[in-house]
Amino acid sequence: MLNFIVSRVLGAIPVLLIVTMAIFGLLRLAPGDAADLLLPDDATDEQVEEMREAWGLDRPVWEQYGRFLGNLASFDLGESYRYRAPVFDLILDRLPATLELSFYALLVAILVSVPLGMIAALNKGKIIDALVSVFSISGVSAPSFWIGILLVLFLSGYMNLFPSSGRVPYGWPVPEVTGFVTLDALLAGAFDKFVEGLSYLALPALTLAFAMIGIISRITRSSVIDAGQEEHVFTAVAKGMTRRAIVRRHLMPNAAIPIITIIGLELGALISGSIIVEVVFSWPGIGTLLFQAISVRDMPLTTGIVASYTVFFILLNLMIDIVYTMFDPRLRSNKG
Amino acid sequence: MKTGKRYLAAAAAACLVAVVQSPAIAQDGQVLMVTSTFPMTSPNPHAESNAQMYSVWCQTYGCLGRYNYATKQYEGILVDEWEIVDPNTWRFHLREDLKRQDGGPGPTTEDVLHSYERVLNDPASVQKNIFSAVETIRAVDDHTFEIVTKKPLASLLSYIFDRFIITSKELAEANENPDETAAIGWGPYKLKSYALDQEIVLEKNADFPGIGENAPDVAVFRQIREPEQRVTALMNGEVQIARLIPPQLVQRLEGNPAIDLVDSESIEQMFLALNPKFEPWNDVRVRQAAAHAINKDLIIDRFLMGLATRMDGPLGEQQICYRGPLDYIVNYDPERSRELLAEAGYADGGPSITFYTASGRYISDRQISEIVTQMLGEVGFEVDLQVPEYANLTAAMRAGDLPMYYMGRGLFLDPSEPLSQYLETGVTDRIGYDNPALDALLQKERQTLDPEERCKVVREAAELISEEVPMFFMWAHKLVHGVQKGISWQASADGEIWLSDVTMQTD
Repeated sequence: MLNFIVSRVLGAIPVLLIVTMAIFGLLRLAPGDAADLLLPDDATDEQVEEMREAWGLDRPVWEQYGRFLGNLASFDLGESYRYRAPVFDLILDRLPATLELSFYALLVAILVSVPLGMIAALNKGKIIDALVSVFSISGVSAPSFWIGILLVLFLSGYMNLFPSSGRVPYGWPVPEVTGFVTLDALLAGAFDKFVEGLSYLALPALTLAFAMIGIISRITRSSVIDAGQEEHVFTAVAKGMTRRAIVRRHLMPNAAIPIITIIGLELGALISGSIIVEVVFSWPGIGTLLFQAISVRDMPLTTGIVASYTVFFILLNLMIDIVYTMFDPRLRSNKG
Repeated sequence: MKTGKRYLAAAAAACLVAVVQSPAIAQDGQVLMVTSTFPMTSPNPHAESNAQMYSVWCQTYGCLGRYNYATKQYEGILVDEWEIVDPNTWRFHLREDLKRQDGGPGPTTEDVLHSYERVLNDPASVQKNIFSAVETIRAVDDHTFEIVTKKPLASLLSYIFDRFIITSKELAEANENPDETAAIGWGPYKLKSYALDQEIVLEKNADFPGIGENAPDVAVFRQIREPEQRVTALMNGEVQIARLIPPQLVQRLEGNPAIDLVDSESIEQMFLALNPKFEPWNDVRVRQAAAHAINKDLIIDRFLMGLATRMDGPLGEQQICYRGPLDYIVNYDPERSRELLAEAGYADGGPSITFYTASGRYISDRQISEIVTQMLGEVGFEVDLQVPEYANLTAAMRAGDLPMYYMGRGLFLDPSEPLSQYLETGVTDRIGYDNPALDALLQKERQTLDPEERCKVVREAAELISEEVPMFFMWAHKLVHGVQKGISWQASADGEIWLSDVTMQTD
C-alpha cells in the first residue's frame, strides 16, 4: 500500500508541471497583462511599463516560469499582483469557505441522489422511475449560474426564506476557530448561529448540489439495476430473503463502487464548479479568488490556485483508490 | 429502524428551523447596509484605483476635498483654501480644526508629503497616475503646501482632489503595518473593519466638524456584484441601499411601497471610437456617415427605457465647462448618411468594417452594439461585430489595434484629461487620431487658468470633435439606485455615497 501511495504521489509531479506550464502559456498567449489591467485608465505608458518591470512581466515567459518553479520548490507560490499578499496565505484564507460550501453541497447531493437512484432502480420502468429520470436530466443539463439565479429569485426574492448572497451577516459574533462558520458556531455552543450559517449556505449549496444529484442518481440507478442481475441476488430471492435485506446486503455493497467513483470524480467537479457559484453568491472562497485573478491576469495567483486544484485532484483520486479497497476485498488481496 | 426515524425527524426539524429563520439582519437603528460592486482587495489606501475605493478612503483617511455635483463646485475636506500662485504652482491650506480620529493632531504638510511619497514609491501603489503632471509637492509651513506642475494645468483639481488620500506620517513610522493596525485618519468616518472581497465597515467620527446627527452611525459596504442579488437583497431588507440597478431590473422595484428609486446622471460617457488609423475611418465622411446612421433617441427610449441621457459631443450637463448644447450636432439622418457614403465612394454598398464591443462590462453593451450594427447595416455598412473577452478588448484598445469600438470612459467630470488621453497626438494609441488643430486647443485649454476663458477653448475643441467624429458620443447612462424608505440620500453623478449626506430616520 505504501509503495502504491508513493508511486502515485511521484507520478503527480509531471502532471503538476504540465498543468502549471499550460496555465503560464495560456495566460501569456492572451493579450494584455496585469499591469495593463490593474492600472487605471489614465495611467501613462511609462507607468504601465514600470509596473511590468517591477513584476518581471517584461522577462521571457520561460524565465518567469522558471522563477515560479524555483519558488514552488520551497513551497512559495509568490505574491499576488492584485492583492499584494502571498498567494499561499490567500488560498489558505479562502479554503475553509470553499470546503464548507463543497461539503454541504456534497452532503445534500448524496442524501438526495442515492435514495433517488435506489428508488428509481427498484421501480424500474414505472412512473416514479420516469420522474426521477426527468429530474436527473434537468440537473445535469441546467447551467449552475441559471439554477443559482432561479433559486435566488424564488427562495430568496419571492419567498424571502434565505439570504441572497454572502457567507455571514454583518456583526457575526462567533469567534473564528476553524474558519468553518457552522462548525465554529457549534464549537461556540451557538445553535442559532449554526442555523443562521446554514441559511447562508443553503442557496449556493443547493445550486452546486443540483448538477451532482442528476449524475449520481443516474449512476446509482444503473449500478443497482446491474447488481440486481447478479446470480447471488437471484439466489437470495430464492432463499426467501426480504427485499430490505437483499438491498442492504447484496445490492448496496455491489453497487457502491461505481457510486463512490462518481462521487469522487464529482467532488473534483464540485470544487471547480464552485467558481461560478461562488461568484454568483458573493461567496468569499477560492472560486471568487480565481475569478478575480483571471480577470486581471494575476499570474502568480492564477497559477497558484490551479496548482492547488491539481494537487487536490491528485490526492482525491488517490483517496478514491484507497476507498475502493475497503469496499472490494478482491482489490485488497490483489494489491500486493 | 427507530433510530433512523429519529434521525429523519431531527433533520426535518433542523430544515424547518433553517427555513423559518429570517435572513433579515438584526440591525440597530443607525446601521446602513450598502451594496458595493468593486473589488475590495487590500486595506492599503493606495492599492486600488476605482471610484468606490477612492470614496471610502476619502471619507476615512481624508482627501483634499470632493466635487459637489449639486453646486458644481469643489469643496474642501482636509483643505479649506486653495489658490493658483503662478501658472505652474497651486497652493493649498490644510484645515486646522480637525483632530485625528484617535485624538492625535490634525493633518499637517508632513502628512501630505509622506502620502505623496507613498503614492509614488509604495510598491503596492497603483495611483501614480494622479501625479503624472505634477513636478513636486513642497511644504510652505505646517499647514500650507504647494503643488508644482510640470506645465500649466488648469484641470489639476480633477486629477487629485478626491484621489489624493492623505495618511498619517506619525502612525506610519510607529507601526509596522499601519494599514492594518493603525488605519486612522481625519475623515468623517473611521475604518472599523475590512474583510477582503466581503465588506468594509465604517463608523461615524462624531468629532468631525458639522457631521449630521442623523448620518448613519455605522455603514457597511457589502460586496454584491450580481445585479439580481442586489435587487433581492434590497427587497429582503438585507441592504438598505442597492446601487447600480440595471434598466431591466428597475421594473422589479417600481411600485414597491418600501423602496424608493433614486436616479442621477452619470459622468461615465459611452462612445463609439472610429479609429482613423484604419480604413475606412481615415475618411471623415465615412465617420460622419456612421454617426448619422445611429438613432440614439430610439435606443434610449425603447431599449434603455429612458435611463440614459443623450450626449451630443463630449460636453454634457455633468461636465465642467458645459455651457449649453454645441452648435454642431450630428442628428440621426440615414439619407444624409447614404449621401456621405456615396461621396466617399461607397454608392454601391459597403464599406466593410469590424466593430468590437464588450459583453457585460457596461450596461447592455453587447445588445446595444448589435442594435448599432443593424443601424449601420441599414445605410450600407457591412459590419462584422466581434465580442472579445474584456481583458483582451481593453488590451487591444490600449495598443491601438481596434478600428471601431463601443466603450465607456468614467471620471469624465473635467473633459480635459479624457479628451487628451483619447485624441491628443502622441498621448496614447487608443484612437489614432492626429489633428494639430485639436492638439493646439487641448494644450491651450490646459494652460488657460481663467475658468471662463478655458471653457471657451474646451467648447471649441468639443465642436471640432463633434464635427470630425473620431469619437461619437452616445449617452451617459443614468445611475439608478434602490433605497429603503426612511433613508434620505441624493445620488450624485459619480454614484458614490458620501455618508455624511445620508440621513436615517430614527424610530
